[in-house]
Amino acid sequence: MSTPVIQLEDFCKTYISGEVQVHAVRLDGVNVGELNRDELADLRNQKIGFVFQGFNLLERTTALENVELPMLYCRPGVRTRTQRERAEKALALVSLADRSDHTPSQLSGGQQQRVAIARALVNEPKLLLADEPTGNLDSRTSIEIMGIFQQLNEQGMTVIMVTHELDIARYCRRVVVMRDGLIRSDEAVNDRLHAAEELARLDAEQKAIQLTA
Amino acid sequence: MFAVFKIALRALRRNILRSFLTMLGIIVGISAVIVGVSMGAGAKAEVDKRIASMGNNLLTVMSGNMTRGGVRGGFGMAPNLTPGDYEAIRKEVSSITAISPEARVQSQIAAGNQNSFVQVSGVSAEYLTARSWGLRSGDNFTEVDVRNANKVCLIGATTAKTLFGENIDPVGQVVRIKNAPFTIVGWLEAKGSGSFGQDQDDVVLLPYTAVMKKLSGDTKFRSFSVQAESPGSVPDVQAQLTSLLRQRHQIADGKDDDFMVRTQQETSDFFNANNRIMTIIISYFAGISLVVGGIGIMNIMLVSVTERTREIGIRLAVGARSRDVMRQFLTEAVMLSLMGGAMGIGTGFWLAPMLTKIAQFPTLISNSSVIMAFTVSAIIGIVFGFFPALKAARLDPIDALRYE
Repeated sequence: MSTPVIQLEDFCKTYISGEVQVHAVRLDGVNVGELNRDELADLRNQKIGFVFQGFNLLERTTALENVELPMLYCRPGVRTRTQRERAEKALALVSLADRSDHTPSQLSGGQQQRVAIARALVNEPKLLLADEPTGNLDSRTSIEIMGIFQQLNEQGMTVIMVTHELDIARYCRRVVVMRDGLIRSDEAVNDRLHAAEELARLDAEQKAIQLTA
Repeated sequence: MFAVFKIALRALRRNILRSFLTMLGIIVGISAVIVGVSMGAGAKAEVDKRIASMGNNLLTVMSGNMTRGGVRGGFGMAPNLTPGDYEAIRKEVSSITAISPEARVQSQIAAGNQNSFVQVSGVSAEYLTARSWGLRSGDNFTEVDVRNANKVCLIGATTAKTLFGENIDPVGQVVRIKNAPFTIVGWLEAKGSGSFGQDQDDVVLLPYTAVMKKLSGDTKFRSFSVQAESPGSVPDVQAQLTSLLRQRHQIADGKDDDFMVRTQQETSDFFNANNRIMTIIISYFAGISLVVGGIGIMNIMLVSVTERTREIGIRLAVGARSRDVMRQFLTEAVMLSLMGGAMGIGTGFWLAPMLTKIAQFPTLISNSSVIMAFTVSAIIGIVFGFFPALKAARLDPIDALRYE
């Protein structure tokens, strides 16, 4: 597994299991290293959304139920009807409202990743952690996913993403380059790509190819 | 809470064959519990019915219990109850409503060209009261018949059927016992099997005087049947009979009685002790089966936890606490065993009447055994589901997500 992934996972691990590897990670004013297992679970539930390279959806479970999953563990509990409404809203946000009753095996990779994003968003977290979210996707779908991330970021959500695709990294505001566990560079992205524009350009190219052919 | 059950049910349905096979141990165990308990209860009910058919508040005084040359004879083997004892009891023992001595002889009995070998019992006119026995037609013989040793008799339902055919009123007919003619004055109601399984209706009742003087030549009785006036007075009557007979038989303090006074309760206890042993043995096997079934559940739940490590990782990643995971797997285990329990109860309900039908073994399913079976299966689920659930709950989120 690539170094950055491990780095992010170790980073997540601190959040998740409290093993002190990165000290004094503060999230929303809370020192994560000091939390116990239950408090970390609640933190994951309320403050952090996770998106993985392999999607990690529950098999043989519909998209809607996958998105409802985090709300099953909310304290205090969420009413069944509210759960459904919020899940539907999150699915609409990733343009999958019409696929809510599909199971992962009936969805494409991009659609599965969008379900995973909807699941990450449903509890309105402060932070979205994405571990190679486009690793299993084709380039066009990758750009669509980046589009969703940019949209969320504009609405005020922090998105931390690990990737080793340099073109994908260019959709971010800031890039930290790591190699062998060490930070090599940390700078703002000057020529930041905008997913909407890229998609429009891709469509235009597609049309040109069709015309010449 | 509802969601927890839904998730558990779905997980079990996903591997429906495996779930069913896992439940099999519990099904076998619980159905064995249901059938075993119903056999115990059925046998007890049968014994109680037979004991009750003997009469109400009945005490039986049996002669015997004498040790002769080191050999202990059975009760009723050597008649040693005298007519004097009988008269003394009638006069001196209070709180009794009926008393009858019994003098027995086995004899061939003939009517027309039919004959049968039956139990001929010589009794008093109070015998029917003591035994709570009714007449289908005719009348009881009287004190006068007893005093004069008249050749009259009451005939049991089975004997009447053998000699005269089914549903033919034998009153007024004459039967010959050892060549002496006896007129049938009453036809006894059917009583069914007695406490030893013998047919109580294959009998002819005569005045005891007639049996002793004309048939057997005995001068002593085998037993007395005594009816106490109420269930509460039974122990008192028992004590009175014992002390009176000890006095009359001149038994020194510290020596054994040469008779025995037995209440219906004691007879019932005697038979039910055997039933209890049978119930214990069946429960023992059912218990073993339940433990094996529980281990089966534990085994499958451990496999399930390993198989679903990724699912657990996902749940932990979206914010499930350890106890949520714990609850999920515990619910599955309890559901497995409860469904197994329900099926076991169903099987038991089906099996118990089959047993009665095929093996003629009395069974009686009680509500308490059903409740017990359900409780036991819930406890098995919790006990054997606990360890796998704990294993699932202790998984590290990252390790679980990485698990291939």
